Amino acid sequence: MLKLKDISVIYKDKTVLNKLSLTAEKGEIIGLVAPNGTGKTTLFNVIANFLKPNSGSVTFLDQLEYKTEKDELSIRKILVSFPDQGDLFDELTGVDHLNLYASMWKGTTRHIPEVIEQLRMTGYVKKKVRTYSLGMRQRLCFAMMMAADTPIMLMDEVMNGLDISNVALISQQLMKMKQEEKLIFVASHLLENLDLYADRVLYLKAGGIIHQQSLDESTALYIKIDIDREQYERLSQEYKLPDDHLFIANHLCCIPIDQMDEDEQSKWIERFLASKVKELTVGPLGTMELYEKFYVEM
Amino acid sequence: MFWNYTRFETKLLLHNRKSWFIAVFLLLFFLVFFIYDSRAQPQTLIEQKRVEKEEMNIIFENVEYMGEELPVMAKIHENLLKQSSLINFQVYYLGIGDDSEQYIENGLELNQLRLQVHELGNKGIPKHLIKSKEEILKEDALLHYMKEHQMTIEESSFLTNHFFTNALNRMSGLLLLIIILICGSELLLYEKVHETITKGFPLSFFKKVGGKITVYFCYIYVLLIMGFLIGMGYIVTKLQAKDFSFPILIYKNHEYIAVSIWQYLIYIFVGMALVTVLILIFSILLNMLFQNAFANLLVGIGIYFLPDLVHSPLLSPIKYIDIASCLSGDLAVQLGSPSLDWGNAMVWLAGITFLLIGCIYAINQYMYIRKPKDKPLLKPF
Repeated sequence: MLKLKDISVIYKDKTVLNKLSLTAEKGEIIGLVAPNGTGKTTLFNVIANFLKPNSGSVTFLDQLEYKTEKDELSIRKILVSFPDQGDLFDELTGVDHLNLYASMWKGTTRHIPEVIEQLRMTGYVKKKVRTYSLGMRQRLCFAMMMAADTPIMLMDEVMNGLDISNVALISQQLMKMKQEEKLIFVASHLLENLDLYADRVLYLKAGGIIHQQSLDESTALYIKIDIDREQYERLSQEYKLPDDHLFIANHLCCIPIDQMDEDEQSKWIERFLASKVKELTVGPLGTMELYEKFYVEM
Repeated sequence: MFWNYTRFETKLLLHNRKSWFIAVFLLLFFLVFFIYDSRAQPQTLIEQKRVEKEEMNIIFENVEYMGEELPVMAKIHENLLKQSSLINFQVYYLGIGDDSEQYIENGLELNQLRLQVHELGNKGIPKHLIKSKEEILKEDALLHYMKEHQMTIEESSFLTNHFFTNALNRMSGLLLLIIILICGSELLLYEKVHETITKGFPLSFFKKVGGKITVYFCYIYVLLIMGFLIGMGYIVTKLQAKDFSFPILIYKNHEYIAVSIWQYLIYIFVGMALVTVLILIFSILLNMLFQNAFANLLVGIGIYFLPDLVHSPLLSPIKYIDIASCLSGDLAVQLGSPSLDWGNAMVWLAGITFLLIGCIYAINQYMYIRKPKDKPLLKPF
């Protein structure tokens, strides 16, 4: 459905994206993870043609590229980007915004009451946007995406400013959208939340995708213990830790257990319990742990 | 999509305070102008004729002082005597005589005599009292029109014409340019402030621009007409004018012709419609080039004054946006271009409009052809 090939965005002294390639299919939610300023928004801008990259191509549905205005229009009809809440029109109401997106993409506003109800916006949506809180604005931005209801959606910082219940509400809607076979890109700093609905998470660094985590496939299991560096060094001296173990962000030691038999696994658990570690869990590495692995400096 | 977008633009326009300020200005401009102008008590037709009578006495004194012995001077003296008599009769027919037909006949004869004096070289007549050929021909055209249409002289009608033309002359040109430039200063630029919302619309650039121009044109034009109607209501009530039969002079095909006030207003407002569209399109181009609202206003006004600084026939058409001056023939005299009349100006303005559309189209297409070199290209709108 979407193919990025060798996308490079290079400013004089900075390479933001470096020959990045990616393929995405319908019905996928793709999480995009990286610290601020590492190219998430730039990547979205390239996909939406707000930024023409130095090189590379963006292809939709195997044939459409941003080569002519006619092609761009065909792409725009199937693509919508998450609005920045600072860009909302303060003097207009939430309904005005929803009607705008619905009429521009779907040509009708009949589905708007349903969107309002699903996102529990009935109480404020008819008021002017200038009276909205941060969370209300963010929900409106998400509702605008729902109003546009396009097959491809780019959602940058979608959970910004939302409280826990609203994060859950939006996550639920994202899962519904996935069932509708939409291709959704979500850039978010709520890493554990991504695990709920993303099919895969891409980790961006130095202009490229350094890791692609697939969440719907079985992944390697680890014993994960929360320890400080001092404890880690003591453990390293006492026991020979496996070569492929990880010590992430100065606090998380992960021992791979896929290749171990049950006795060996139990032995490691007992050792750790004896060392009085703060927390011990068994499972695959989550988005949060991988994020720390890739971005938090030791 | 186009109409949905246009509806949205209308909503934004209605919520914009700047639009309301301009709306109030346009609605009140003519009313305030008429109130101000009517305080100055313009000369009525009979007063004008009385002034001419006084002037004639001065001319006689001068001619007599020069001596009537020379055959030319004798002819001029005789001519002036006839003129004086005709003017006196005109005063009579406008007053107690109350005979429009005779007034017109005398006027036509008077103009012929004035033209004869021109042929005789206006000898003995003080320069400041010489009525130019242009003025004589203008008056002659007016009187012919009245004769053909068997019209009577309505003083109120004469005065309303005076107020209307004054106000429209004031609005046409620089003032209208400034108003439209202010309106259009953020036509595309406001989208920059809301770009994550507006940038990705599935609408072509030209449809977007078309929607904006449609909305802003209707807004400016409707208010302009409403403002004029409000002012017109005031002046008609004040002068208790019953009909608007007194003709107005326009310059057409190298000569002055008289037309009814309604024809004049149609010419003016059709012209202003084209000027409004042109300046709005020009604003779009300036928005694209400078991406700054202030630059839109400054560059727009600067270009209007360019022909005053650089005298070139190529730049003269910029001045044609003063459609009232094109219609009155004042611009033809000012620019020394006898072929410049309303029709000529309209053709030029339409041509410039298409040229501007071509430039906008070319810039937009260039965005798709352009290859990034040392940095990626940001799509501006």
